[in-house]
Amino acid sequence: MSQDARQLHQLLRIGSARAGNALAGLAEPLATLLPADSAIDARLWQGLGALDLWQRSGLLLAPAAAPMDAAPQEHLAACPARAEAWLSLLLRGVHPSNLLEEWLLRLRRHGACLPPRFLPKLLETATRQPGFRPLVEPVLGERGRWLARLQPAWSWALPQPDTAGRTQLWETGTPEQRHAALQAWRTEDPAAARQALMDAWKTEAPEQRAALLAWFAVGLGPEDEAFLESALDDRRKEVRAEAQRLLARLPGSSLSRRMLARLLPLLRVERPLPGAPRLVLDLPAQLDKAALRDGVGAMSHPGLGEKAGWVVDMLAAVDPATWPERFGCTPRACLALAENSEFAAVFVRGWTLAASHRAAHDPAPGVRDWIRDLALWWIDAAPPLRDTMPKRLLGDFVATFRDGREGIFTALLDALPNAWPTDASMLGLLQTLANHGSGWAPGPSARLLQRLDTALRQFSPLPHPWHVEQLLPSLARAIDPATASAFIEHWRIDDDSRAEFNTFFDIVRIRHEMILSFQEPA
Amino acid sequence: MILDANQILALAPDPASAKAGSQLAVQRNWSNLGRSELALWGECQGSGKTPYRTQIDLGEPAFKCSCPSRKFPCKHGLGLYLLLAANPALFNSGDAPDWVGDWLQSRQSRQEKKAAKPEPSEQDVEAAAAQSRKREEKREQKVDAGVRELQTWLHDLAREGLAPVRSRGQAFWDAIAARMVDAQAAPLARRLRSAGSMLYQSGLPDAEERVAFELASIYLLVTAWQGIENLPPALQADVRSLLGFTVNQDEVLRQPGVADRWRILSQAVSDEERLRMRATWLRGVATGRWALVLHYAAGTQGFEPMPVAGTEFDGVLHFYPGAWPLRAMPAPPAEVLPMLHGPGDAAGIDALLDQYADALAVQPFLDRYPALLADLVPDGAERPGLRDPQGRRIELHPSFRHAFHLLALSGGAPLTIFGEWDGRALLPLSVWHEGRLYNIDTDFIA
Repeated sequence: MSQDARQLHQLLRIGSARAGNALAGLAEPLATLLPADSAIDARLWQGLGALDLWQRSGLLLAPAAAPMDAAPQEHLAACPARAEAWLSLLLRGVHPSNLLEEWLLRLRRHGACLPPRFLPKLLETATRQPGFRPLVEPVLGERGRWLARLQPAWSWALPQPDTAGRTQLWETGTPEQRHAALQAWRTEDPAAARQALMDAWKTEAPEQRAALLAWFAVGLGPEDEAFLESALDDRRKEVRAEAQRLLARLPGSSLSRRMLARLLPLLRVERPLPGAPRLVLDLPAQLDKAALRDGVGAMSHPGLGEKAGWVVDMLAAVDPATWPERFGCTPRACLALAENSEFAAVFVRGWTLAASHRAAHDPAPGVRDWIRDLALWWIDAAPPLRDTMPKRLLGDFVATFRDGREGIFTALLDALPNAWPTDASMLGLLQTLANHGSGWAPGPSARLLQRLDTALRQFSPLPHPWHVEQLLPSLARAIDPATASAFIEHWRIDDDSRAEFNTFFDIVRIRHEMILSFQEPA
Repeated sequence: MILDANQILALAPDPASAKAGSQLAVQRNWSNLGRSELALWGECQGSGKTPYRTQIDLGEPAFKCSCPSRKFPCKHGLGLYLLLAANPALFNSGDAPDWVGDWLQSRQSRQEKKAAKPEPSEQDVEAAAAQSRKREEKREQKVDAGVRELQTWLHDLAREGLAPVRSRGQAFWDAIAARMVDAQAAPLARRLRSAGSMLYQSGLPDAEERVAFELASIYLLVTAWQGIENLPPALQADVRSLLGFTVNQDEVLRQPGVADRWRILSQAVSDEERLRMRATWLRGVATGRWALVLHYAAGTQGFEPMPVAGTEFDGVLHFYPGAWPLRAMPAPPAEVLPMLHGPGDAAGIDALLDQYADALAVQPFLDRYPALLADLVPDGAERPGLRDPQGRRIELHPSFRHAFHLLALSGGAPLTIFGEWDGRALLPLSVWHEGRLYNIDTDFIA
């Protein structure tokens, strides 16, 4: 009868008008089942209908493909049931604020893995938003990695290939796979990774060279210098710029030394009597080829003259710890010297860039001091000078101290002027602090709440309520919810500011409950 | 039984209410919280001076709130219930205040009154019956005409061929579907429209064969209608309902009830044109009978209360008349319990195929048939399917969107899957795994 099925489907496809009376040769029992007197079109439909029923009532199952290997035993703990219920709510967008990142961090801290039913959703989310990958990857568990094998788009979640597999990916993979391979390689064995890139350097496509070179930021060390120096003479501008950036942040690189050598003749400290000591800068007259090669004049610095910009580029390439040593004072005092100078903006910007280049991976103590002092200086600085420091950089700085090791959050909060709620820049700073991640330590969280409390007593109603309205939810997402919950139990707020604070309270409570959900009830 | 947060949110009439409700589920918004065995109450400070009085009868559950919202249940009801699920310690056990007691009592007396409703007089019944017969007849004439038109359309289609018709696009199918709407045969309209979209949008390699079989099945239905008086009465009821004739609820209630403990195996909401439909599959513990309960809701209206998947209750179901009755109407259950002992005995695929063949023999228009199958292992991702213990392949329905969720849950180990079988493929609706029922529509988030 399967031949009949084919025949009938074929007939319907081309139409009986073209096919003629081709329905004659139907096999039993179809031939007797269909009323012989009906027209061909009716017989066609009846035949198909009968076949459909016949197939559905006696389906023959095909053999399945060879079974897959089962997922290995899970090593991580299971997700607590209440936390699982929270995740379900978060993924459906029931909660007003996006707390998924924090939930994932908490799960990791709990030593647990994602409940299997959510794996497809989170693998998919992290595939589309790569920012989620570092959060999702550690909580995938065995089951998640097993599942990721089955969908090519999820391959980022697979365990790193071994050396042989990596070499193969590096040699034959897609650009994306090659980047991943080089990154992993740099983490594990920077020298071997450098050699691999050097071997392939000549044959790489020009647009790939700069992008691949950027991975040298991982595990950057003095051994990389020779290769990077040679890249300064590359024909491609992007490659040269990448090499300049890397060499500038490489401690003790000869590029740094050359920059310092260019700067020193231009700089001196003047101590007039009477008057405050100040830095004096003579702008360079022109650039030679060597300076161009080192990247002086490569960046644009809005608001500064061309020659002043050159000096910024030079300052940015020199380890900022050089200056306190040279001038015999703290970074804060260096900034005071700069403030009295004609070229205050040049120094602030140059030092900021220098510190921020080196802020990324576990900065040296000298750089940490700079970051702290720059941030504190910024709070007190006159507004026009403040603006020379890009806001984004302030955020980068603050992120460096997310763990609060240096007490910088507390120090910044202490340094806020009493009138901070009336100062848009200070509100902006708080916004930046808040945006750079949840997980404020209890100390700064309590300090912030105290300052909010004092401000509320001082200003009622609050000035700039719209600023505060934006700021409060971000703060609520950042501070330690246990500290905050305890604090707001006793907090009296007049009805005027209620609306702004309702959201704040809600978010704090929701976070507090969410975090408690990881502790199983006794 | 106290529902958990997910089950409570499933009661929300729309996502906005679910969101608003969960935002209200914090202690700060509430005062005078309390609960008893039967009920739950609290006062919620809204934008007005006096707080809203919100109360829940935990049995069904049923909601009442003094707020002016037209959504049902409103966000306050949901918030109150969610607050209980999150933090039961906030609720003092004790006697209900008057406003709660009065409501509970009035509910009780209303139910008693309903039960004791006097039988309408014989005259009234006859008059009403005559009127509805007249309406029926008018509608039957319309369906008659529509069905004739559809038959001609199908004959023409067979003559012209499916391939040449393809180029005419969806409009060709929508046109005949619109004619069926005019003929008051809405289910036919829906099937024709979706046949068209299957052809153009499904991207399935065998879309043409599927459409051919679907149209043939419509053809058989249409033929059956034309000779309906020759069919057994039960099958007549099936044909009528497949053409869109509804059955009076009183008539359903006149069918003998089936008392059992009913386990709720799955619940899924789907959009059906302007309506939302919630399909709940149940299975009797003692009788082993399957039942499908359908609820409809329009717009922002919520569904009638119904226990959620993963629970069970003692009750009586009345089945709609039919040759192989599946659709049923439940009475509101007195008490809902969690489904602790699993969904019951699961069959192998062979037993399912036998049952399905038996069912088709008496009710050849049957489309979906409940199937509870044990020990199925999801197959790899390239062509998702299920493998039975004998190493045979069970296809998944093309509309199934959660193959990766099944894989994730199984990790290569066998699962017990409940779903709808159409004779060729399985549409999974829930999974019983490691002592827990996963209702796919609500528990798998895509």
